[in-house]
Amino acid sequence: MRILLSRIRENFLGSKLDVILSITGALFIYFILSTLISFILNSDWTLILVNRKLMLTGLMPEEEIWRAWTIFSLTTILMTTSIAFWFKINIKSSIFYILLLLIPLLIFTTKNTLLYVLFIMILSIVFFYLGYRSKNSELKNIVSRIIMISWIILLPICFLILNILDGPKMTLWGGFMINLILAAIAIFAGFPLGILLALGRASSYKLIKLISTLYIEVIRGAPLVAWLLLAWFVLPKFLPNLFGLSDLNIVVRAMIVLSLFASAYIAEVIRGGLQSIPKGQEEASFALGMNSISNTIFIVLPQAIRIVIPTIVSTFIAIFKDTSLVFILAITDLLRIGRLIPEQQQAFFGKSIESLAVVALLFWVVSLVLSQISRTIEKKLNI
Amino acid sequence: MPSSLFTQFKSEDSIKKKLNLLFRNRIFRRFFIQFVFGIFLLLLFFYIVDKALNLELGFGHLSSRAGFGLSHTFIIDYNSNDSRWMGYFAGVINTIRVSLVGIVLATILGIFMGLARLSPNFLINKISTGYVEFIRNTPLLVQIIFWQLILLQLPHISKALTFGGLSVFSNKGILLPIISSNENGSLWTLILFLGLIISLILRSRLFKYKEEHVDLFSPNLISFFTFVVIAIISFFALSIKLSPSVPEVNINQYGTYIQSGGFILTPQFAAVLFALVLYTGTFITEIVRGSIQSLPKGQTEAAMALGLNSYQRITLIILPQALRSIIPPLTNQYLNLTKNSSLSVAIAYPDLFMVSRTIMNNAGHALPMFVLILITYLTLSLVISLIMNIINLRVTRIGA
Amino acid sequence: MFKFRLIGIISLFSVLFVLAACSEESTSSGSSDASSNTLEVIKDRGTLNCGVNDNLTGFGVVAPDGSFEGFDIDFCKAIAAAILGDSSKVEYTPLTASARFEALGSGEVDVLIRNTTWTASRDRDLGNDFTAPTFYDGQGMMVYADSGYDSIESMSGATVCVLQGTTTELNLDDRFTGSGIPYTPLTFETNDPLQAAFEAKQCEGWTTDKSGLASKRAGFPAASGGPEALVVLAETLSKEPLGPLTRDNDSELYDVVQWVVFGMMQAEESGITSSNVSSMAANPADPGMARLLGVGFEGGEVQDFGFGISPDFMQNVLYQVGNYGEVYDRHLVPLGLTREGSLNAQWTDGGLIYAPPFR
Repeated sequence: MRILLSRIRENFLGSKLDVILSITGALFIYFILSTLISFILNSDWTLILVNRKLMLTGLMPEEEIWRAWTIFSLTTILMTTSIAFWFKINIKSSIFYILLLLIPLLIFTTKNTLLYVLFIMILSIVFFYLGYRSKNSELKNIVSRIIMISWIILLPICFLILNILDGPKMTLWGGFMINLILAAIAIFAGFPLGILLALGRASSYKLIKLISTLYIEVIRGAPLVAWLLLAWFVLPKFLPNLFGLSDLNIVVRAMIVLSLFASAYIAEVIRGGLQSIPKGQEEASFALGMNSISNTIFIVLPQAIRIVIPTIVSTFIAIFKDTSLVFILAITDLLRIGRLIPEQQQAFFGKSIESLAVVALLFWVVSLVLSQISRTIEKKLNI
Repeated sequence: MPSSLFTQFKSEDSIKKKLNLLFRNRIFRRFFIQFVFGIFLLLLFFYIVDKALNLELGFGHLSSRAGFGLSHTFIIDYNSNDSRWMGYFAGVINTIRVSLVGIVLATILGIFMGLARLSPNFLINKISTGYVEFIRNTPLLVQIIFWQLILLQLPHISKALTFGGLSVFSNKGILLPIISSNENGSLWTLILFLGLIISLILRSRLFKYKEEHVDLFSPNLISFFTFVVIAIISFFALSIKLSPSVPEVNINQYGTYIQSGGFILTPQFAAVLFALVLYTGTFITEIVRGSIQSLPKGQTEAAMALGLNSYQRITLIILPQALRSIIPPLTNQYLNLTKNSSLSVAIAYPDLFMVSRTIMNNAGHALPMFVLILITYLTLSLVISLIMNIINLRVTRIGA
Repeated sequence: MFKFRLIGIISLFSVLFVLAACSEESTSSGSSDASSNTLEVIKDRGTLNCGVNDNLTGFGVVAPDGSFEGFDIDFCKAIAAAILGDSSKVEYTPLTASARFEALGSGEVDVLIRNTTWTASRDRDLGNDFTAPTFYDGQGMMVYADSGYDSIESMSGATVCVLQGTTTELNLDDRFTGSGIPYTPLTFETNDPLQAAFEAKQCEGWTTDKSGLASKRAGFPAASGGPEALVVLAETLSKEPLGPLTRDNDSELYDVVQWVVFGMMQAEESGITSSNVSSMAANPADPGMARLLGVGFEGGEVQDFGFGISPDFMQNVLYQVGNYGEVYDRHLVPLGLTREGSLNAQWTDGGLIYAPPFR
């Protein structure tokens, strides 16, 4: 008891200022929590139950939903396996992960989808166990490679699943799914492009350096909404008439613009990493007889990327949040649907704040998962 | 090419050997690569220019009558009879206004929250952590819409909250009392601002002078006195009359509530401002926290050993050193804030992006408008970077 | 670092000056280089790309399962039925008011049927061609019934909510500023924050086409007072003839769209509906009806007007979609927009729906 009291005194009542701060802080927390709790309890959450499918997959027709379920199950299984294999599993973190992934799951399950959900959960648990067991076995390297390759081919496979057997056209993809897909494409395409740009900006070829710098500064000079509009109105007039390029639909153009935009920001981050590598590394590799290209690929780049991983992951998170800006192209992403529901559906008139809260929650969950991954990678690489 | 290479070149007979020799030479190789790259770029450039000339270019349409009204005009007096250039300019002023206020408030918030993040007080620490985690991971657009909806919850103007009759809170805006002046008011404010800069420069000069020649005057007093003199002289020269302006809500003959007087904070401006400040504040918090944590722990320990209390420790030892390393990432955040102000297109705050969209819709000509938008944002970024660079140079000067 | 930004700005300024120098208003505004034959493109492609509204009850809305329906949507279907024989071969592209013309001009959609007003500047400046209006509307102002406003003059000093980038915005300003009435516009990009602002009475008036006001008023939630709490002022701020549009220099498609619309109007005038079109085609009542349906009259020749589509296109249109009256009744009557006495009645009833002869 005495220890508790002294702890309280130490943490909260250290000095006069501390007392004031603690009281203000407590009042503030009380105010926020009470508003939040009364809001949660008093609002009508049937909004979500009715509009689950709309929010998650947009305007995809009912009969194509199996594709979304397949992608979702593949991603979940892969994610649980990776978590089991690479992350440190203790009671506290496992409870955290289970809670985190369970809350949105519970929100989006109904009796129709219960079978799907159970199936996915069982598969996940099986793979979780497999991943956990193989962490320390001799198959470690093989399993590790399999998991990494699976992550890389996940995106093309998703596209395959969405398009196979006469899939729905791209403009019908919507909801949360399109946010995730746009973010994934922007990251996958923007990352190698960003590396090239960073190397270009740091290179000694004056022309390449000039062009890279110009590109990065111009892209970073205007807000993303301006670039997206440019892609919509101006880009089609500049595309050549071959390969059906002038007929690209709006979703593909959004992907292109997001990738180019992401590449500029990623390039800046990597450039910072490149600058922090001591020049001795480069000199040593030349002394060993490597040429410039090998030096870059095998010595400089791996170290540079390793150093800036936390910043890169936060850039990825920013890109993911920026996919909500495609509302300006009338792509029905999650945010646009969240805004249209209170307006178009009679039953939910005026429930804009609830709708928006669900949208925010979904974005928040994914961002949180990404930043947790970043923290774990940091710890593993001992940064 | 150097002469040795040239003679070697001539001495080799087969083409293959000649090419081999050329490409082995580093200088030639570099030149060749850049040459090929340059040709490629030129082709691309001509292609783009060729396609661009097919579009309507030119800014002639911007001189014609605007025809649309704007809900927020500041400094300049815009109405729909002015040209579209004036409308665009009004939009630019709106962007600058929200960005400037946003930058100042976000920095203050960021510094406070950054310090709170490192506080030993458990509650304050967790509040700051929660703030960062929640606001940072939600898209900014969601937050802007959220604030707009929240501000709509304020009471209707007929039942507005007035605090002692001094201010008015309603869903049409927040009005606060302010001191206002007659016509030359903004000129006088400008003169006051210049006077402040002059007296601050004078102060630093006098301090330097005082170091070398020990005298008995106080630089602070002298510079303050100078400032007051400038203010008073300009006050009478411009014949300023100051009067307090208290907000009022009147009903005109048709039953419409008219707000007048005071300083109005419209819901649109407030929504964009709050969202931008809170969002950018999280990033500034992390920057401040990172830079304070990167200071050697010895500084804190030495300060405590010297008997400084925590307020002195923070303001005299920690912050001045931490501020040195935060300027570049801070500049980045300021630029982000300015560009993020373009999201006010979602609610009815007419910043430059929204005005240009209206013009684009009324008159077409998308490409020239885009170039204009691009140039405007680049110029704003340049100005901010320049100012921050000057501050950076001053702060990182050894012993500054 | 900012040296490069400086270089970037300088190069952009030079681009700017080059552009400005070549700026004498080019004659072919908006459209791409040569005149293109979108009709052939549509036939090759096999689908019609239609620019529509997804957020205006009665004219164009999207159901949660992804299907579109509405007055304008039916005209999209009719054109697809005429060109491709199947009214379901349409790809709908929902467009916001501020983006619709650029979408048409850039080729993203073939035809724009999105409650768009026909104006001179849109016809010439923006490079579009308007077909005959399918709906004659007017701009109105909606206010709360208890506010006591009865005319535009009484709204002096009020705040009015309006959508960005529409003729509504410009008409509103013309009306108020032209009469010297002070007002404050609140311009929104989309309807949802506008609606929220109006519900919270942040603005006293909501202005858009009267048909739009009718649908919004009908859907006003009971919690805020229901439709009776709102009233649309009698004054019409402007003429708003709404209709489909194509790009400039696109005559083949333009003619097809034009005459499909006229065909539907003529069919209603002649009494042909989706249920009796097959029997009418087998046995046309007079030569005019025969020409309309693309059949011979009493064994005579079939007249092909050379639109580039099969001569019996109206049969597909009428069978799969219906005549003008059926389309109107299906979508606009539930909104309370009656035809009797309005401009949208047939010319024989005193309205403006009039089809030139199929001859």
